[in-house]
Amino acid sequence: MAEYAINSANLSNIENNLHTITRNMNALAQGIDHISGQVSAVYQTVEYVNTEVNKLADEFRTFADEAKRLAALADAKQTVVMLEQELQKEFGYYDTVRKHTVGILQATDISVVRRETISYVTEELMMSAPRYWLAPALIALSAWLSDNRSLAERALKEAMRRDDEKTSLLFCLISRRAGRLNGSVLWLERYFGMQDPERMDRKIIAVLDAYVSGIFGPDAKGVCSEKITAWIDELSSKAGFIEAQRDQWSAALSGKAVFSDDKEFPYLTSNSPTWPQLKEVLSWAKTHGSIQDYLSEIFNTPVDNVASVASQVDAILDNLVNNYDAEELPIRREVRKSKLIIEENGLIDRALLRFDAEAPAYESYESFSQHLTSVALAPESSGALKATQKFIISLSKDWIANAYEDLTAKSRANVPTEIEIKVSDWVGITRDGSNEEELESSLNHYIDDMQGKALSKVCLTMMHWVSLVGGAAVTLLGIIQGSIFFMILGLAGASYWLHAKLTLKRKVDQTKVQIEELRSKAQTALKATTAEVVDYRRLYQEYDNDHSMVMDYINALSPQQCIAVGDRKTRQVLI
Amino acid sequence: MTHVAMYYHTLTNTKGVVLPKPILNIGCKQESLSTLSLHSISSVRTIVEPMVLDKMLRRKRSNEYIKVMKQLDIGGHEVSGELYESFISAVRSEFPDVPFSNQPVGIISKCFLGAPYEVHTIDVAGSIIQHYKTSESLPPFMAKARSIAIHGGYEFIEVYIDSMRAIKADGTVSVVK
Repeated sequence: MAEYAINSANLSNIENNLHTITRNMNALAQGIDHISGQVSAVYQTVEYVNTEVNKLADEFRTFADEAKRLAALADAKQTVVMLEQELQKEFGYYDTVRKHTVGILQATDISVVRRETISYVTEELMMSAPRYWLAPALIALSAWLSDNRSLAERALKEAMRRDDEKTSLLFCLISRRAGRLNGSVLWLERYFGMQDPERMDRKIIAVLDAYVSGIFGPDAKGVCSEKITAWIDELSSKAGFIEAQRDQWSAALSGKAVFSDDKEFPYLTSNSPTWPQLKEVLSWAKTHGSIQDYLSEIFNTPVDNVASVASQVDAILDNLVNNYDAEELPIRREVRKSKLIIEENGLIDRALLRFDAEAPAYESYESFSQHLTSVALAPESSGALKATQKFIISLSKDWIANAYEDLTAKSRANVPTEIEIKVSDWVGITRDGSNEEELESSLNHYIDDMQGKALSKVCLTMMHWVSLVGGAAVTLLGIIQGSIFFMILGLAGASYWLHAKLTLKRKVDQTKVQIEELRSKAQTALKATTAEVVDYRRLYQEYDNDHSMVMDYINALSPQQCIAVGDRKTRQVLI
Repeated sequence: MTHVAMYYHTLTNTKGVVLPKPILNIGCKQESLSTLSLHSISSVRTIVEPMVLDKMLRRKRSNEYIKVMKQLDIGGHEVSGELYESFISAVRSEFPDVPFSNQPVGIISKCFLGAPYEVHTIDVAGSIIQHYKTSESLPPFMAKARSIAIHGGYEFIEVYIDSMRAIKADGTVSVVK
């Protein structure tokens, strides 16, 4: 055993070497820490780059949408200019004839233009407008004013050959303007006799204007109301008519939709998968107010009921002669579409939604019901008087109410009973935010579990324990065999374990701090989201309550109230 | 709650999930009715044009019909066989010209028995009247009507195979397809 004795000099060498190894190990640990720090920095850089790339992609999408919008806007402006030039070129002389019609009537009223001049001008117009029905009608009018019966009859025949309906209506209105009520009603009956409720020309709108203005007098009132009732009854008896009316109103009311903004509820937008559905139903709830405003604006616009019959007839004549003829309509339709795109600032989808609601007004021949809808929805496009729009809306109130009630019921059926909240990977359900404490507790449990799992990963691994046990065994072997190499190797293994043990606590503390930060952020997000749920439910209820106000308004509408009594001398009891 | 416990027993299914117990389940009748109705439908089935059918089902509901449907809560949890028959008979007589297969398959309305009850349903085909708690799921064909039923503003909701019809107190009908 003496040959294996170890002297004190040898032990001090070993101790020195062990100190050196420990120092080297510490240096190595510092190096590892440094590398770990650099890896974290690289990870943060990658995260930053990722965020920036996403931001850039969002900006690019926004830029692309903006570019598309601006291009559509510029294109629409150019189209409007181009089409208006085309209208001027193709149908410019129509406008001249139109302007002369009312001008001649007014000039005759005050006798400031000689009959020869009127004859000369109308003959000029006749030659410059070879296909237009209004030109021979003007000759007839001029001949009538000059007491030239044979010319008046010849011109009238030509005007009726070109467009019998419009000519009948024009002379109905002119006779009424001249105070010849009998002649007016005869022309009106002739005009009505030519009407097919399934296929009516747009000029029926002018007749409705006249009827609503009360200018046909008491005798015509019966003729008009009977005809309107008969046309509606005839159409209603056909399967699908009422459904079509409802669908048209449904599309029109949908066009009044108000769009909700994500910014209104930022936490629900970020943390609730239910948000798209919530947003959709909130939009419709807001639309109640928009529909109420739309109706109020129409019915609160004053109508000049004291205007003289002459000026009323002039207004109707304006509508009749100024309304676009069938051949102009395709271009007028395109002009309107482009103007809507300009009004919507290049947002094509919104413009098309509005155009679809107005589009029927640009159809030349439509069913009577379609004309009703056109006047009600787009009086500007159909050229109807405001009073006529009120009358038609009141006449259509049952269809409007049905369409509105269906849309509202559909939206209400889609109101989510439960709202899902998703924070990180945790998902909770709330109805009205009243279970906030329960959700907070659930989120805490989720984060506790997450913490447990994260901490369970921060521990000494099998490799560390093998290093310790192996190191101890090899050191012991080195001592027994007097092998410095084994002793150093064994101590290195043990040092590896020691270092891991020393850094473990720091990692545990770091993990806890990170999880607590996450808990704090998640709880804040949850509280903010549940607060928004409470606000959302309250706001939805407030907006939804407007529905009954709109229904009361619609139910109170009465077509009879919209009809002017007519001559101030004449008063009628309307049933 | 004593009242609830007395009449509203609970059941558990094979997975141990608590299910609402039918207040009135005329299960034994159901089979014989189904057998009978299958024969009768095949022999007298009439096809109605969708638009005509829609017109029929949009007609304003009668006061009597609405009155009967509102009685469900009056009966509380205990619904007598006689009362149930009156519901079914009200449904049948409200739609005399509508083929059986196009009539409502269920009625659902807001439950006024108080918490935790939320809605009650009449399963016309299954001959069952049930009150559902907030936490309980409705059968799939009724589930789509839950939201509008609890929304308020409607007396009850008629559930059809392909649509729903919300009925207001004045009998007017709103259609959800």
